[in-house]
Amino acid sequence: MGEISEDIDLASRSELDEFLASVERRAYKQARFAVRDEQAALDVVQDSMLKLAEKYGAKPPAELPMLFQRILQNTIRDYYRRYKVRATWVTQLSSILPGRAGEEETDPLETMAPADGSQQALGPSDHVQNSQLIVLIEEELKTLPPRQREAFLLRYWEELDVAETAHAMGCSEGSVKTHCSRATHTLATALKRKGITL
Amino acid sequence: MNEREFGLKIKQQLDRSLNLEPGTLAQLKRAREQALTRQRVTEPAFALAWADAIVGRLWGNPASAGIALGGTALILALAGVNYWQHTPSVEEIADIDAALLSSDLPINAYLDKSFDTWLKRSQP
Repeated sequence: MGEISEDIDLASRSELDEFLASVERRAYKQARFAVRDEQAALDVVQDSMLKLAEKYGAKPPAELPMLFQRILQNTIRDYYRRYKVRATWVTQLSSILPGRAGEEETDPLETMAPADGSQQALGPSDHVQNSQLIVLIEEELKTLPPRQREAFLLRYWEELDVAETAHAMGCSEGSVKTHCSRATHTLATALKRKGITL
Repeated sequence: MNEREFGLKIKQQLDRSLNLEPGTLAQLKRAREQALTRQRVTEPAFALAWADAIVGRLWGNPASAGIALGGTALILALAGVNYWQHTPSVEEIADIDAALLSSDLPINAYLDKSFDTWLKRSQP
């Protein structure tokens, strides 16, 4: 099994470094919006970077943004699945173990969703934000349904077009438009309710 | 304000939120450096992409791996049952051999095409 080594078109170490440095902060914030935990978000970004470098590190630089976004979204989804499986097992074990039978069953996604207006999701990094508006926008983004948030951020923060967003999310272009439209409506309504106009 | 304009306004605000804490930035830098040490530097000419994708997904997802293992075990069990049902047992083969050898008809008769034709015609 032979290997080709057309280094001219492939990402060099410095190009990959430059690319990762350019996306790591936004990737971290995206993961933070989704998983709502600082360390988990860092783990998600680290996993995504490793997967990109190990599997696609030799791809042309132009392909890296799309590949990275797809990997990032899949890694976030894998986190959700693992979280749900772990929570299911904990629930099952809790019902078996003595002294825990009376406790109410909890949906993992419910426990992840911060209450409206609460300070639950505020972590250390949020305290350095000097703009209340940014904090409010971030809070509203966290409360969006995951697919709507994913589509909205990919389209407008990562500046992918509809086709690229659909590819990164693994859905149809129509679904992307629907998710973006709903996310925009929800965000605009929420901000307006708080008296904020952009 | 249409959807695109609203999206761009949100983008401008989010871009201002990228001043992360030094500790977070250091961890991101470490993650980046670790990824760079594992960078694939050549593109394989031949790759079983589908197999790689499946193994990669199963490796990171214990639930999917469990389903895949269960499915594989079920397929193997069904194949085993099918093989067992359609393979004649030693006793059946021995019975046929004994019947052939002990019959009055010479063995060579079974090799005769004319006998075969006669046998087919004589069947009701």
